[in-house]
Amino acid sequence: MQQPRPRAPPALPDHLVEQILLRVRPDDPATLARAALVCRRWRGIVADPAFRRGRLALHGGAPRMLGFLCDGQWDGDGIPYARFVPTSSCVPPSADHHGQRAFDAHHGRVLLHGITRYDDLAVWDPITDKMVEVPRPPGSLGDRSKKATVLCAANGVCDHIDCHRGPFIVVLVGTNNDIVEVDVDNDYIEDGLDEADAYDIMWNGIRRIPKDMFACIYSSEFGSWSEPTYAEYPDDDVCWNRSALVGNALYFVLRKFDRILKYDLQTRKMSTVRLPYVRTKMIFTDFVRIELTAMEDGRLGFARVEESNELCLWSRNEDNKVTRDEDYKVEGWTLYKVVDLKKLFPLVDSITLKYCLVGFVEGVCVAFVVLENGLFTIDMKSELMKKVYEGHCMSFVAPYISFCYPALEASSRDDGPKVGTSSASNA
Amino acid sequence: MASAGSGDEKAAAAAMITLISSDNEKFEVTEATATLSQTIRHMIEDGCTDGGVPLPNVTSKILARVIEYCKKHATAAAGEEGSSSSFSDAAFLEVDRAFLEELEEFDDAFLEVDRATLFDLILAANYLDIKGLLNLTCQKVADSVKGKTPEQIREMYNIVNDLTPEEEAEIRRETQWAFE
Repeated sequence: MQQPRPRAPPALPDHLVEQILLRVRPDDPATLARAALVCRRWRGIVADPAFRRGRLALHGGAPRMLGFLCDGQWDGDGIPYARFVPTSSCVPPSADHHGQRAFDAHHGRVLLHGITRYDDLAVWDPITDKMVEVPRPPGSLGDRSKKATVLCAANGVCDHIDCHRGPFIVVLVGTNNDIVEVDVDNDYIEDGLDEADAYDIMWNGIRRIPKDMFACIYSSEFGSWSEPTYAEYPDDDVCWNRSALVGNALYFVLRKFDRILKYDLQTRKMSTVRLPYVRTKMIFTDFVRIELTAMEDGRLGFARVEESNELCLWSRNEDNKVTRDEDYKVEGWTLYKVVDLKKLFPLVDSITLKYCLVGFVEGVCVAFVVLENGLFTIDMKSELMKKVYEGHCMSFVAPYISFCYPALEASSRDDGPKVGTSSASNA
Repeated sequence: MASAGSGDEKAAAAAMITLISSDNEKFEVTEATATLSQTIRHMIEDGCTDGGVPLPNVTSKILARVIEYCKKHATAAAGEEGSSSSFSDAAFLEVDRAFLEELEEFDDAFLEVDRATLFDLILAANYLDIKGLLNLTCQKVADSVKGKTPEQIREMYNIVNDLTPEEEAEIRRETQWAFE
């Protein structure tokens, strides 16, 4: 039995120390890491897989947002780069990635790409600070537009709680194209070209004529890219907005924002999904940026600022056969939540609000919006907003969601008795 | 049905149990208070509480505090049950909220003790199997180590560091993100 000296706390048996450490708040993994340094016993407890399971049972299995990647930070020379901004006590040793930009983040891994070349890919683990370069994808693929994302290689069977050190896959989709030279003065060039096409014609004297869509997968286990699969060109190209993973399908944003691209990881087939019309009273409306997300209930969702500065969250609902709701086509979707941005930011002008959406946190109803004086999160459920970053020029924000946990070899728990005296008497 | 239930409850509330601390001090408590402890609940069920329940692992000082906790939480539990039948939903929620707030205030004040007492309470809550108290006290300790260095934690809770410098260096290397 414990015989404490006066005022010195009595020693606790392991299982009670475990009860204490289990209750270290889930957004504070750093305290747990420091607790592992207290003594051998404490280290052994933290390193025990049973302890890890206990924490999951107590705090819920859902990984949390530990930080986010701000893409489009400008360095001193005006060159954009990616920066990791922590929102928890998990602070990566290197936050700024000069010369690199963020492509996407899933399952505790971040995919970065080179500033000049989209296919200089690297997978970064903010927790271990390990950077793995990915070989360039097959050169035969076109460069009209590309988007890539990183996933755990065991998607579908893994719980993604502590897989960020394991094998990964990189999924690359894009538009396959031919390049033809254009004589700006003599060739017939139709109206209504999109920005990228117009830029190519004006400045490079070329046109990238789309052929079809391609998709291919890099596997870190095999160290190679798969043979590409192809699909008919949907008359649209992928853009750099984040992808969403729902079940076994990845969804990518298309530039015109009226459809999205679905890539089935199992069958490796691509198809498009039509989005509901923007709710507006105007006859003509321009396309508004969307941010894809996986909803709390596991459905596909997307956010978009619609008329009158309403931040709208739509949820995929294939049962919804109502083709028209008042005047808007909504088949296959349900309007899940609407937040009036004017109410939250009464002093911000409508144009800024219309284009403020830069990211969305999957699994919860939280949007990232950028305004003149910084980056804010908006919890669409509670309608609470919070400033999370002071800075400008953010083109895109990718939440970093993981279950940060001190990665210790589970060896030293055998060093001492596993249960203490009082637990023996308790049993 | 409902009246029979409340009748039973009254009978249960009236029954008294004697708890005996390690230093032989006797405490009279209602059964409703005592049965917050699963350990005592089992003893009552087994019918071995006549002549008092000896608790050789708990001093009178700590037992007095534990009883204080149990009394408050037993009352709160009874109050909640009673209010559900006699108030409308909205009023019930209001009362419920007030109860919870009061209970929270009580818990906060209850935890204003020195570290040694806090650890004694954890040991007692574990021995007596009082889930709420164990949760409350462990959470308090967990929150108290937030942001503390390993050295500070050792000092606070009287722990000797038996890690070798090599082991320490390895842990630090594995958890770099926590030491920026």
